Amino acid sequence: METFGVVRRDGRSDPFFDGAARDRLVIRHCPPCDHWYAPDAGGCPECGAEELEWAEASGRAVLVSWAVAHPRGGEPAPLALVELAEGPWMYGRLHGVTSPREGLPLRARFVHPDEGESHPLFEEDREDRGL
Amino acid sequence: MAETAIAGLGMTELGKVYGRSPRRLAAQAVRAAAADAGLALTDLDGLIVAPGMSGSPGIELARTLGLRDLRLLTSMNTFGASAGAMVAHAASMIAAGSASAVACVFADAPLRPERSAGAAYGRDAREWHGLDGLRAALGFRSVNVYYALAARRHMLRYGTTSEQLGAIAVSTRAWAAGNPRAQLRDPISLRDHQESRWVVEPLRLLDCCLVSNGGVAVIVTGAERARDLARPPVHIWGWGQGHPGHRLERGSAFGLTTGAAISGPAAMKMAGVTPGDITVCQLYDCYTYTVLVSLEDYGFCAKGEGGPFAASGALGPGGALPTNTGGGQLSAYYLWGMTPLSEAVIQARGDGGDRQAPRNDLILVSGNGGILDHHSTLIVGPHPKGRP
Ligand SMILES: [Zn+2]
Repeated sequence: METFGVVRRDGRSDPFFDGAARDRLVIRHCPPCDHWYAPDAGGCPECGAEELEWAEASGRAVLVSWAVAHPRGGEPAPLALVELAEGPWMYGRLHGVTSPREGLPLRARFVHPDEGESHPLFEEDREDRGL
Repeated sequence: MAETAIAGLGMTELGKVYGRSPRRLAAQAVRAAAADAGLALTDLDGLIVAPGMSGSPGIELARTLGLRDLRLLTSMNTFGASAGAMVAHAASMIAAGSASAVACVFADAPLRPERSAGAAYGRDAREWHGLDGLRAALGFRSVNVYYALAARRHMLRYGTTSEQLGAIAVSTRAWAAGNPRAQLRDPISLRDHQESRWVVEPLRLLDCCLVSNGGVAVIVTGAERARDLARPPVHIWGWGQGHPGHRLERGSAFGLTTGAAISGPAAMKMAGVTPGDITVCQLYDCYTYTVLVSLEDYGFCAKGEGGPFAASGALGPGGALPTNTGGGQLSAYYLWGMTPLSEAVIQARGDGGDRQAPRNDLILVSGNGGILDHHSTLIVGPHPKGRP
């Protein structure tokens, strides 16, 4: 698996990184109105709540849009905007997605580097979940 | 409401201009703009500054210039929409009788001799911190990525192609050939565009704007007063802002629509015109895609038709809707919203030389900031409002 820059905590998103260490995608949730948000959300524009809780998401998502960054002197980076099953969109990096398309089912998988924090990537979800 | 006009335009050297702070560049631009209008600095009673990437000229600019007894002094920041917002604010204040001659200035100096243009707007580090840092570590190192994601959405939804984006790069460069101030003037072909390297797929190098140092200022006065000044007035017909506030969640229109869908109709209503009346466009072109989606949101073509419209040749020299006639931010210079605004003033005055658009009656000027999040529109022209 590719390696990324070393990521450290900043004290504002520890539950996200704690979750990643346990292979869980932890995002934000507003209990009063049951609205879900991306991990970096700061409050609930739906009901005005100032505090959001950290809550475990399913880790399932679908692909909304994607882009491949070509840094000079570096490997291409497959980047994406994904829609989590709970509704919020999240910026992330794809892993092993060879034929991206809008709506492609994805799931979070987690990287546990030797140094720095664990974090998610999104890979194709091939499991048939039925409907 | 009292009518207003742009009476002066001042531009520093643009591009690889090193060793001057934003404040010094801004001071130079304001002096040039006042001189262009035939005004002394002491005639100014208002100053509005806007910050760029490398800091703001600051309201301390007033002291640098020795301006005294100002009735309006403020800093405004709407990112790339600031230029239009500054002019609208100046015009409103003048119409209200709160000021009479207002300089609006933007200056920036992100380029440094020892680093690449990309580095000026990108991020790099050995360690990253928090969620923001994680995103950067994963490869979200510059705004290019977000515009690429936006452009891809449009491609997925409407079938827009890289070649259609390329048509905008080609027509914009064709205009730049006639602009002595343009940083890039050699013509390019669609093939050159298609062969330019990926920056962030689906955006190629020739889909992305330049990075420039420099400063641009305009002087806004009442229309009556402007008539007695040194240069022909550029009348301000209308203005608007739009900040759609797309939330990133299921059903979001992120990337597919911009604030132009709000600011455009507002500005046109104030001006009493429709898209069909506009004869020249100066659209914020941080990326080719920004032009394409703005054209749709202004109503120059239907939603989703921006690609075919651009590919039709309408935007280039000889086309039905001359757009970015100075070479825009893609080929001329990247001074945020001052790039389209400065070219609008030049065209309205008929000073375009080799690149003068044949019909300059009504010019639409756009500003765009964030990831298509903030938009400003101005409608200007050589004739007094209501008399096209
Ligand atoms: Zn809520």
